[in-house]
Amino acid sequence: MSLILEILVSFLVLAGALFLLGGAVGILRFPDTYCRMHALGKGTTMGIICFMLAAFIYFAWSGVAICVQSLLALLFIAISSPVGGHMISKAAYHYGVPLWKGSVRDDLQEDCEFIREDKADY
Amino acid sequence: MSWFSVLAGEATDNPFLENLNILSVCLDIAMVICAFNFLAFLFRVLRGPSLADRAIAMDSCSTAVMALIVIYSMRQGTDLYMSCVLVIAILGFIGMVSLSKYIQSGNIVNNTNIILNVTEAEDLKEEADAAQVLQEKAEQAIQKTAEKNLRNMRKQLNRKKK
Repeated sequence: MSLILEILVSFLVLAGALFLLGGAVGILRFPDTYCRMHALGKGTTMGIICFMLAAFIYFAWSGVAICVQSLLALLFIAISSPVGGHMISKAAYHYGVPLWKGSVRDDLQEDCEFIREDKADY
Repeated sequence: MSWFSVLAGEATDNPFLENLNILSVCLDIAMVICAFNFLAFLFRVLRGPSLADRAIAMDSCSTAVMALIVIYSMRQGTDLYMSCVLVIAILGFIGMVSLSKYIQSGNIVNNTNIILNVTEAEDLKEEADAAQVLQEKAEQAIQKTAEKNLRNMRKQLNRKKK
């Protein structure tokens, strides 16, 4: 039982770190603001969820405490992080940050009245 | 592991973790990976071309700090640091929302009557220029008609004098 719990906590910690690493590689390598937001939204949310689950299981297993703060932080981040990413992305689109050259669809442009132009001083 | 324990703190204070070899090694590896992630997010904060890039990279920096705090608290064996994680999460969300409001409208609280969008400002300027041209034309037309009326009056006066 102890070995199973240890392997589970180790797997969750490594999975969280690798999700965060995916977000970091995405923010270093992707060509566009929106692509970077896409990578970061998934990566950081899943990484923190894995870390909080690992912390909850670890503290309950080691007999320190039933750590309710980690579950609260998990719930709050799972709700708030995608909302924040979408808000920043919409604000960037309305501010006029240009899309990548290889982007194929822009459905939001039909709803926006102004004409988007690629500006140098965004 | 001596240099690592100097950098990241002694894990041997936690007697529960001494018997768990896999978990301690995985915690060290995850700590190194999270430090690298923090450096990558800081690189995007420094170099990101737009303000939205910097904002979301800074929010991800707070996420990496939360992960580091979780790993550190698991190494130390106390759950007292988890409330710090909760506070950082709430502050990060509030900061992200206010930054998005700032990017979109140039102001956080009251976003009426403020135009930050460059294309809208150019359109309004063109409309104002067109209105100014129209006003000048109207003034010229009014002057012309006034001069015509003056000439007609003078002609009529001259005819009456004759």
